Amino acid sequence: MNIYLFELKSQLKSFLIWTASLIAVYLVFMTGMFDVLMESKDAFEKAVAGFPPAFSAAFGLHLDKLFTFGGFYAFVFTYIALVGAIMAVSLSVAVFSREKRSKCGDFLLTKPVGRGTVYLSKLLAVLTLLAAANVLFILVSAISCSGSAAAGTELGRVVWAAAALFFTQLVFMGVGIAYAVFAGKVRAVSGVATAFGFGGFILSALRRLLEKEAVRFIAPLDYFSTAAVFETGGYEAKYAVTAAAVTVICLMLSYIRFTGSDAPAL
Amino acid sequence: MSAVIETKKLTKYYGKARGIIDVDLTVNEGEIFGFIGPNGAGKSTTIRALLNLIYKTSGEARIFGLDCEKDKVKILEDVGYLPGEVFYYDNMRAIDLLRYSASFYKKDCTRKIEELADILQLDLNKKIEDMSLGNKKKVGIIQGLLHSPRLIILDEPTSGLDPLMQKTFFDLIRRENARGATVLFSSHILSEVQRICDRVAIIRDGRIVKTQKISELKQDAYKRVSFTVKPDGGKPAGISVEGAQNVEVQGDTVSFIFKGDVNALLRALCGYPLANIDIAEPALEEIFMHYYAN
Repeated sequence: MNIYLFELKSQLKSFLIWTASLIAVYLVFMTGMFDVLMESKDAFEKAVAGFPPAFSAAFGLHLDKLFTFGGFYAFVFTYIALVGAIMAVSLSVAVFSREKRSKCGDFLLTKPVGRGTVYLSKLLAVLTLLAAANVLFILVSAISCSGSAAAGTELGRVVWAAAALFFTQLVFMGVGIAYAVFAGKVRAVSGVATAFGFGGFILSALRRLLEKEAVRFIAPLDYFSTAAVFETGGYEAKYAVTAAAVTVICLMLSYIRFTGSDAPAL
Repeated sequence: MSAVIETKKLTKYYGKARGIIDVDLTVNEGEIFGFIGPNGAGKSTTIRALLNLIYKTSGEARIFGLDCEKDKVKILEDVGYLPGEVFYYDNMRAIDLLRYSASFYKKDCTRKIEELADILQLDLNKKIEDMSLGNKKKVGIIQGLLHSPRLIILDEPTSGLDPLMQKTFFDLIRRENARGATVLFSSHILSEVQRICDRVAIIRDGRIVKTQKISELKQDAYKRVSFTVKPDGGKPAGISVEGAQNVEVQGDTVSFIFKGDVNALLRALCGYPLANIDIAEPALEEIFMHYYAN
């Protein structure tokens, strides 16, 4: 419990900044820009029509869907998921590489606590922070969709779409933890998190450019499609299963490594 | 006297690289046990295997009669560890780190923390990263002792401490020992071990070379003898007595290393018109070099 509380306290500032950023991005786009976009629909369509098709595809601009709440949500979610992915990797790497970065692994591992408990306490701390951020995000999404912009949109679908952020973050959490545990040295958490976030974004852009479904299996930002939620009411099972598998495999491998390897000498 | 630490054929390989081989070590309850050897001999590897920081390749390691791997959590409740180099979390005050450390033990350590900080003259409200190396070491000492452990493991503990603080540290260790704590003291500074330990194990190339009482170790070893004859006594040609080795003659002075019957030595020395004589206890360094000499 003390490790869990220590990690929560250590990450509190970072958590608040990331959560505020997520909500700010959401509110700016969904309550501000959506109304503006609807009012300037014709001008926007003309502007986007002038873009190279590959450019529009890479950035998720689908004009046929963009002027619906669900379509615009899916477009905005591309960027929210990017921020969320960076946040998840950042928190995971910060928590799981804390001793590695400070070279104080001996301090923690010579306390009367098993390595499994250390791992689970840290995992629980990251999960708590991500869950708390997502409760706030879902609440803000639910409240904001009661406005005129989302008129006619089912609340349940908005909540389910917003929850895609949490599931996406779980995947990146798994990847972040695996990185933190397996990497020999972790220098800058923010650099690592940004690299993983943009790596995911590039894979998603690649998937949209190539228009090959198979590529989607390696594009974690696309595992949970909000467009699918608004259209069908749920996620696509095969990608959700892939996401779960990636997360579980990352967590299992990192657990085995964390509990079973020699602590590095200083 | 029961064994607090007991290893049997404890072996650790890092891949193909040698760590320690067949280390047999017994540290009895209440003693201050020295563990000496140069860098890379296997001292830290032995300690890290005892603390389960690394996993042994083969053999057995027990503390308080419990298995160091299976019963790690139970063992560590009563073990205090001070490594050679101390590193702690960034951006923390000493008091916060020590409170976090204390939170792992099922006892109130507040009074002990204050008492130790007072003895070591450490400002607990300072951030650790702003502290000097010596003060960081003091934080390490407090975090290793704050729960009044039954076993204290010190791995090259005095680096970074000035001579005055080293004395305070040794007094502190003796006090903990008087309280009932057993101490395993690893060092390559032999005078330190000589100063505080009851028994000592010498490790070389991953193997224990010898385990002996400090007093026996010194008795058992060579003596350094040097004598000078009077100017009118003629030039000495050397000395002929069983047990004398490495005899060197420089002018009026004869120096040699002796191991044998001291009565025979004195009889031989009586044959010279002595101006001066020096029969010295060998320093532990010399004994140590004896074990390390190829």
